[in-house]
Amino acid sequence: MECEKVRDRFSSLLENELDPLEEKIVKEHLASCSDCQKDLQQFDKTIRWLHSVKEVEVPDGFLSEIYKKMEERKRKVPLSEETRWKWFRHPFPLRLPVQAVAMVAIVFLVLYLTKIMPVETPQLKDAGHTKPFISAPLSAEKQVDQVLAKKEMEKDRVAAQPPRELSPPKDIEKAKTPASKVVPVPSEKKKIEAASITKEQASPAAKPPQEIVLRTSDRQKTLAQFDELLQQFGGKIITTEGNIFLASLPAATFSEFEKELLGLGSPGKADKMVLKKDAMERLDVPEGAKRREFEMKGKESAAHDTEKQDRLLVRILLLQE
Amino acid sequence: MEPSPKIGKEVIESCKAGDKEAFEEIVLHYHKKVFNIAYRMFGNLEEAKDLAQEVFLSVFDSIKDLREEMKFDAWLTQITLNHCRNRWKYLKRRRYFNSDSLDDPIETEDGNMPRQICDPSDNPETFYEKKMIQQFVQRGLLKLKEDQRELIVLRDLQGYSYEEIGKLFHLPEGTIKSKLHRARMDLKTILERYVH
Repeated sequence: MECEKVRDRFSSLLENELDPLEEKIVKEHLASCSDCQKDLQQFDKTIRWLHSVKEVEVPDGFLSEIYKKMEERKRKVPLSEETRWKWFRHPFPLRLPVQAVAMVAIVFLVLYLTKIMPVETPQLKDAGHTKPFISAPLSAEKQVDQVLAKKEMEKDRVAAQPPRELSPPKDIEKAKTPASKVVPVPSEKKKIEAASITKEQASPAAKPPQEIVLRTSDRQKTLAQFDELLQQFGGKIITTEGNIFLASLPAATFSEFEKELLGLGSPGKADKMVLKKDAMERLDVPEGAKRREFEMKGKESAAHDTEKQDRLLVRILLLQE
Repeated sequence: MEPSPKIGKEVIESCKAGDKEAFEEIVLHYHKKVFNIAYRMFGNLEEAKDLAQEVFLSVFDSIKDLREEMKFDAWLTQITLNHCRNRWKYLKRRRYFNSDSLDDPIETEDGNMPRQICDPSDNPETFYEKKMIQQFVQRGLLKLKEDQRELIVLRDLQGYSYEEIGKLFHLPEGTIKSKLHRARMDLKTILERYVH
């Protein structure tokens, strides 16, 4: 047997766990190998030393110190545990307010979203850009803004652009007077309608700042009277497209002309709709649209400019009944 | 070294129910064993005392979860070993054992004594002979790997059977035997180097 294998059996040999044959072989090797013999003696001494080790006595006050540590823990642990598990031990008084607050918050959120979403979503789609909104009532006004902005963009494409003038604020008031038989519509609705009409009727020729709708049963007669009235006030027709007439006349005589024009037909047959477009533009049109307007103005000829400074464009819609 | 007789099942039951007297009985019955395992694992009396007290505090806290009262001894030993392992890791991180050498003065229960570089067993008349042997062994144990030290402490110092050790380590008896033999051989080599 090799020395290494004999050394591996030292423990078993000393504990008498080797079978007789194995023990005999190991002992025979030890008798012939002084190194292994010396090694076994050293090993045996180590084991004897280990077995000779006495137990150490436990220090005095061992138990009392355990109780002291227990007391220290009790002083610390209950505080931390109380705070840690408080939520679970007393869930009701804490959870109820949290749930209630959460419910209220959800309800308000849902109400807010349902109120704004149906209006805002298509509007954003139309506008092609996102604009922050504050509340639902504003959305209608914004829609008008966007329609006007769109209209302005269309104008950009128009080659021959008629002069544009800012309509005086009195036109706004006129539009609201009951004598003019304007179909009573809510102001916002009216704005939208007006904007949409202008958009639909936008021709390459012109977009007059003033628009008057005339209702008549006798077209020829009204036209003749209209011509006379125009000449009387120093005005002239610029373009004619079916029942739409674009005329220019001195700004000073406009109010008088308008009064007379509305009196052409019998009361009830004339309908006036003066668009407060310029006023609206001044108030509502986005900066981009205004800028474009100024740019367009710059492109117009100088002659036109001087003429337009004291003349006003009027579009008359003749509606036959 | 004879293993201590097992404590009665009724004492463990009473301790489970929160009986302080039963707990005291358990502490007094096992504190020497727990303290000595800890002392042999660390070679420091104060460390051993603190650790043994922590073991009994753990016993007090978790004895209600003990299902098989018959295995209380093994359960207690397992708690002791776990505490030792955790503490050993903690001290190792702080390089607690780095300066430890067999050439250092030996700490005994009576204070430090200078190392005598000779085989104490060669001189039976030496007053400190037995204590010297114990301290040499203790220093040698601390030079071993942790699991080797555990095996020697449990088998050669505490007298646990191979079967008990096998259950504690979740290893077959044969494996325990060969590991223990390797640990003893390593301890022999360590002691040979310093003892002439």
